[in-house]
Amino acid sequence: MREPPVVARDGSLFDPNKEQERVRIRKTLHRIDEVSFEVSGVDAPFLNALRRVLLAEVPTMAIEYVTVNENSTVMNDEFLAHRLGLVPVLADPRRFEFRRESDEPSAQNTICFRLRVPPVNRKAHPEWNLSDGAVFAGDDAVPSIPVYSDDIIWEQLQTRVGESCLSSTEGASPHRSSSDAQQQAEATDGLASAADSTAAVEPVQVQRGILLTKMLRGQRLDIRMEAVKGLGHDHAKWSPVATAYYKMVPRVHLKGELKGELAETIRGACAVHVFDIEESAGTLKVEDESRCTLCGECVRILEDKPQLLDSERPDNYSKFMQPMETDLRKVYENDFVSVCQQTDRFVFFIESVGQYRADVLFGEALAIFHSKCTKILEALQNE
Amino acid sequence: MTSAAAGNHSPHSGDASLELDGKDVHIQENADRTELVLTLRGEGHTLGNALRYMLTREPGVQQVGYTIPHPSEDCLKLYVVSKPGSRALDSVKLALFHLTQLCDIVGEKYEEAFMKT
Ligand code: SF4
Repeated sequence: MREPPVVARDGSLFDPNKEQERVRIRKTLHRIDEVSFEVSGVDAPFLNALRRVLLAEVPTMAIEYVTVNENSTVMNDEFLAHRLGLVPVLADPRRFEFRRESDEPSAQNTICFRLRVPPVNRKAHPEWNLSDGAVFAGDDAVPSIPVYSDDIIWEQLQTRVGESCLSSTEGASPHRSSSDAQQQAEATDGLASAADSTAAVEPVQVQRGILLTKMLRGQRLDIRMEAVKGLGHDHAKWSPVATAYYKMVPRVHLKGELKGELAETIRGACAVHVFDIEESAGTLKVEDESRCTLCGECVRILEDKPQLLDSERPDNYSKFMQPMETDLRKVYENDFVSVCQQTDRFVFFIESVGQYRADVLFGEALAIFHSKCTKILEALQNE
Repeated sequence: MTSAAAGNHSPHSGDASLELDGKDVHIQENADRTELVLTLRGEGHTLGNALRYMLTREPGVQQVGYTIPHPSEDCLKLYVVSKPGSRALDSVKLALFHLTQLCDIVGEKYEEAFMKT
């Protein structure tokens, strides 16, 4: 039933001036973590390249190296390490460099974190301060204590000559009070003289509120982590987007006035509520066609109800026969409804995971794709 | 058809941009330069399809196609036939340049749509 996809306008040569006039972008949603916009005058292969760059080639920081000093919980080390890797690190990746195998960890290419449960400062965490009797009293199941990503604390990375290990000085966690931080610093076993360099490096947070594991009293976790810059190409944890996709703008037409059972049937068929029934006239109308997912259910449902098809053919059927626009591709159609795609107009959706503002991501993708082309162009220049 | 691909190619590491810097571009042409097989290491469908599309919009191009010979090999092959009298490689350069121009145009329109209050 479907025609082959439209990949490009044929026969039109690329001319930057014409392109400049043809390309139109209109924003439809603008939030800190999500944007969507309508693009017309750009063909799918180019948008698809940008989509692929967004998913796989815009760099972010993510936890890559995990050192488990102590883990007496029921969760395996590697399982836990995998979960830690997926926690978004809310640092601007543009401030960091890639770290090669041969590179020493430095403040330019590595962010260090530490997770210690029970926390060094137990006062702030009443769940750890119960006496044994209180926890194990009764026959009820032993309560487990959830460990959230909130407990992952940024650490200052100290580079010492000839030594690539992490320092043991804990930086102030940005979401704890200063007295907490002080107590933590006192409690740690290492040097506490990083004050001068601490000032230069901003503490980094991870996304809060993510459940990492659950543990019982008496169990312990002590984990050091190093986050490095990477690409979604290698692992989805480095992907800056929860999703990035585009679709052709869907268009839904009704061929005439539909009433009664037929109208009800079609309205009820659509799971995303594209249709509604006009209160006063009792006729079917298209409420919001942009919601349409092209499932075709509104057309297919009438195949099971031939009696409706015969009894209620619209009076002014011919008038609505053809959609007006030329760039429409019919996907589903019967005598009452036609569901089309507008082939030269796309809606692009980008949802950020948190490392970038959603509205800068598209620009980043463009810049990366641009430099991809430029690099090859340079390589070919002398040929 | 060509032996350019396998051999010394190292598997993709965590740092693709470093590999891009030392990018391996391999060119094979016929005698009158109207036929070209371009092998690009470290590229995939992202560039491949966009470049193929742009080449269909270049005046000198008769035929164009691309392939990823094997999914585990990080390598893209572009095949271009140009019209007699023009060099296929020139069309590829033009297409790459036009892609950067398109990036600029789309970027500008995006800025207009989002950054003005
Ligand atoms: S094709 Fe669109 S309008 Fe019809 S039922 Fe599906 S989502 Fe609703």
